Amino acid sequence: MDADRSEARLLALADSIASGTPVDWDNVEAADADEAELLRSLRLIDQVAQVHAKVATDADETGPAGQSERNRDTQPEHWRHLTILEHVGHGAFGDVYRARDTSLDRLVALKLLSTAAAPDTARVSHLLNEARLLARLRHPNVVRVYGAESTEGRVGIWMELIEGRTLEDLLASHVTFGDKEAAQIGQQLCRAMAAVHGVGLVHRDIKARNVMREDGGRIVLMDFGAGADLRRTDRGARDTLAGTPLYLAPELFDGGQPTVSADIYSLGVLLFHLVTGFYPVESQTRAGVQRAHQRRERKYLQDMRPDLAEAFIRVVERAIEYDPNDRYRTAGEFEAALARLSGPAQDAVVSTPAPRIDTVSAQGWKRAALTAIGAAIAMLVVGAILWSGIANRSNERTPPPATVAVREPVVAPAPPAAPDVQYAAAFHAYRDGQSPPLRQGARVSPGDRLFLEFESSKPVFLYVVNQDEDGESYLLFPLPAGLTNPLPPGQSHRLPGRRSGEDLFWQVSSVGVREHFYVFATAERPVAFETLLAALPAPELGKPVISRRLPANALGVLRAVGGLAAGDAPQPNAGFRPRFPQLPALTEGPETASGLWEREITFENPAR
Amino acid sequence: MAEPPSSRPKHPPSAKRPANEDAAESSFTLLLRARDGDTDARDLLLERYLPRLQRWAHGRLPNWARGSVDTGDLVQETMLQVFRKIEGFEPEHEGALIGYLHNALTNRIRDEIRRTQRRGGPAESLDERWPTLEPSPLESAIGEQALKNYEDALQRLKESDRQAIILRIELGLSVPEVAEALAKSSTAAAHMAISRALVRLTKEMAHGR
Repeated sequence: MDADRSEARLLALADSIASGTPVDWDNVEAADADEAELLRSLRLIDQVAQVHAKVATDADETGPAGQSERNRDTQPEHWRHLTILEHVGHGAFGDVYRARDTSLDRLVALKLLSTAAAPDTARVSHLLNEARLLARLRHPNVVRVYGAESTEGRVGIWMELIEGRTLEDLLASHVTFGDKEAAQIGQQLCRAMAAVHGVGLVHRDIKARNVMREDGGRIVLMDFGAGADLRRTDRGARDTLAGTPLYLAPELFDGGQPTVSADIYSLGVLLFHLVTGFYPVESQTRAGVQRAHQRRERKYLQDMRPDLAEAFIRVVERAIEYDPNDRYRTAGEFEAALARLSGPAQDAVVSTPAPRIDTVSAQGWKRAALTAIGAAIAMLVVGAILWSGIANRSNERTPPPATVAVREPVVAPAPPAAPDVQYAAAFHAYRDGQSPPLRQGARVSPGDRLFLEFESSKPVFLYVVNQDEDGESYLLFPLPAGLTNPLPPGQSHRLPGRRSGEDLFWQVSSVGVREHFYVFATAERPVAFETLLAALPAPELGKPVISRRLPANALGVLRAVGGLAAGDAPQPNAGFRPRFPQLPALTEGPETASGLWEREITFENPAR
Repeated sequence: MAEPPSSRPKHPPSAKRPANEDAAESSFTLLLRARDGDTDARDLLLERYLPRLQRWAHGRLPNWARGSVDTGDLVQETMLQVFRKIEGFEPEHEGALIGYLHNALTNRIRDEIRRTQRRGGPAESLDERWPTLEPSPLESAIGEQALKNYEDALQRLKESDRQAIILRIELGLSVPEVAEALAKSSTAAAHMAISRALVRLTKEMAHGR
């Protein structure tokens, strides 16, 4: 290209930018390869203009009074065949709405890309193509894309509406995940990634915010806004720079192209993040992250969570190796490594929505126990009882209970699958100023206020469940206020806890026949079970009944998740074998278990 | 004083205009009055440019810094500081003021980022779980290196080119508005000035490093 023509061409393009006319940069760059450097710079200026325009639009939409009218005007009621119900989110690429597909009468999530985010036609057609590729993809762990169209200047992608929370939300509201949970989430995400890679795409933006855990436990990979077609060869700088720097593979900072290996790296970072709350490389700026990569400075999982299974640490560390050649080559290879950690029979339970009790009855002692307890629930619970929490008056302080479990620290080497935890627990009834411990078969009566003394050698997640006369389960702990999981170790907790400075009790408020309590504890947060809990309406303060009703499958889910502790058979040296449904009155003294610790205790509550 | 043509679209709708001037008092007039200590004029200017500069700052402030400082306050404070030091400022047109404000704000934002980093730098952030470690919208869209290249090149341009680009590309003024701000004789002239500035910026970015 001669100099004059080159100058004229540049000026024409600059003119388009000045007047705000979209430029098909992909074509321009392809046509004028010998002016690549200039064109890239000009394109970058165009991007600066677009980002500023986009940010201005966003600021208007979220801004204070004065802008809201305009916002209402631009909020559509319909988009093609979809009736827009409500605005549910706002991302870098546009707005997300809950909408109804009127032709199929189903709810969908509609992502409307802002025109500022995708002004040039090449970008629009690229997004549409990408969405259409994804629409062909059907995988339980990948959000289902139903369709994508461009109408009246707006690109819309409508997809499966997932009811749940992002992993980021879960991390923000809880402590970190255990290695088994993380491994199971990782396995599901590996399958999702394999499916995405299988259609020739890379995700490029795998992070906690883009993964949802559906109410019910299914893990769903979301947000392909930044996805890239592997077959494209003409990607500009902005393509490679998508994604959060904390999750970005080091080679991408140097202008490398997004690859399968970079996705694997991001998933490795996500798993690291799930179990630690931190990132392997942290900095507040992109440049800082890049510098740390160059100096090979990062955190190691072994240092941060020495309590995790070594095998898990090795798998994650391999996924986040600096050199892509040292990482897993495919999502499938990564998945296989994660699967070896958790054993064969478990992930199916978590990856499918809440298993029903009667469908998980056949494998292993845990499953057999489950059947037994299912039968117990059906047959034994006939009593009528209301559990209400009442506050102790301040002049009526609880005396120390007669039996307080004693903690003796356990220094046993942790088995690779699950850490040993020492437990001690006793139920007490508070009556007539006394609080005797309750043993299996003890008698309770209306007016009794019950509480549980509990202690463990490690932080654990504890759940107390009661069954009513219909066989329905109620969650008695944790409650929305007061003590929360995980319970700190090394101290005696008095459950259900305290509220507004006063002790709470479970009150026996009516006669029944028998009262069954199920007590579960686990060092790892039982994700699927908590998902069920999260879906329950929270009881309100001031209401007399502070129990929460559980869906029929809740216990099954908890047990199924407990079953995830491979080799979680009780420690032989603890001298304890589960004997469902008749267990000792919680513990006769401190005892040690790994995986899920579970006890059932039944009190007689006869009609007088 | 170069009065802009009367047919062009005016400033943001929020700008109040005194009734005694012919149709619209130009920002330039306001600027001169503000410089000479007229607080009404200063407030009118503030009102005229605040929303735009706030939106602009929104694109430049990283999310995490935004939490520690209100963007609106930051912009307003900076503008007031500029106006306090405005005596002796001899602008050719209001674009000069905007260029000046742009510089002041850029510096202020850099200070703010440094300050926030000192307060809760990486070491401390380990304890607090930083929810948003992402860079500013602009940086995350085009990358830190590219942004630096752009900004450095912009600084090397002559002042009139720099102002044209800031007004049109960064602040999103319409071409007629740019014509007014830069005291161009016509919209077409402003358009040409912007385009030529863009070409010079492009060359500066591509070759000037």
